[in-house]
Amino acid sequence: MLAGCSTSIGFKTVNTTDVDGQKAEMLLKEDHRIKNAVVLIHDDQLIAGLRVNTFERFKKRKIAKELTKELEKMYPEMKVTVSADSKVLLETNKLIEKEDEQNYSKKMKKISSLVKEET
Amino acid sequence: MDEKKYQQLQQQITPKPKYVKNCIAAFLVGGLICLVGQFVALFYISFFDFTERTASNPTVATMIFISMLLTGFGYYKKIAQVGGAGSAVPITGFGNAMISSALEHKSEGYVLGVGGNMFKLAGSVIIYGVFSAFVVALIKTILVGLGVVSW
Repeated sequence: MLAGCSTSIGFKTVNTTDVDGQKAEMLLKEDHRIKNAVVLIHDDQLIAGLRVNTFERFKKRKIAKELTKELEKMYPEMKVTVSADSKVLLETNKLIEKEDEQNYSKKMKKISSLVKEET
Repeated sequence: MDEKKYQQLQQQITPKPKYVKNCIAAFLVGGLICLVGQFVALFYISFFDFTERTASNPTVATMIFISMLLTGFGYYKKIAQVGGAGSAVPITGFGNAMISSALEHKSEGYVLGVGGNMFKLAGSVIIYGVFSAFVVALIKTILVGLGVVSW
């Protein structure tokens, strides 16, 4: 349970397609507001879970929105989901560590639907 | 003894409230309650399909439930003795206000005693919350209808 709090994840990118995933990682790495990031690119979906620096948390939704726009510009043919919610980071990291590629699309759809949920 | 003298005497005898000490105690106790709440939220995030944003609803419900149990068993008043406002201001104070008045008026019967008095203090909180939510939603609906803002 406490694994979600640790800062040891760093920057991670897993790419199962042949588009350039390095670009996305570089963009996130260069953003000094971001502490940890996990990016998963699969099929036509891109999910980025972020953890922002402590006092940037107040602006985390704005940061996610900005990065969504930039990533959509980078990968116009993909469904981009960017979130600074720790649930996204946690679930995406779990997904990557399981390395179960058949389940990727299904689970990724679930994560992006969680982000959209309002209540 | 005239009025002025009496007031002077009264002021001399009344113990001074320890503002600083009370503030620190309230800060620590309130912070501890919030720490527990944070762990409850983390529990809901890690084991259920809640995000940081949506986890707040079940967390609030759980915290109220815990404080209701503590009130019933008589532990919450001990916390309140140390923490003061630190135990009343977080959402746990809401559960405490409900259950303690329910316990107090139990001797008057279940309907007129417990039912009638349970919401004496907490009821105004609920009414205020529901009503202000209604007003805000109404304003937003009108603004969206006029096309000023979008949802």
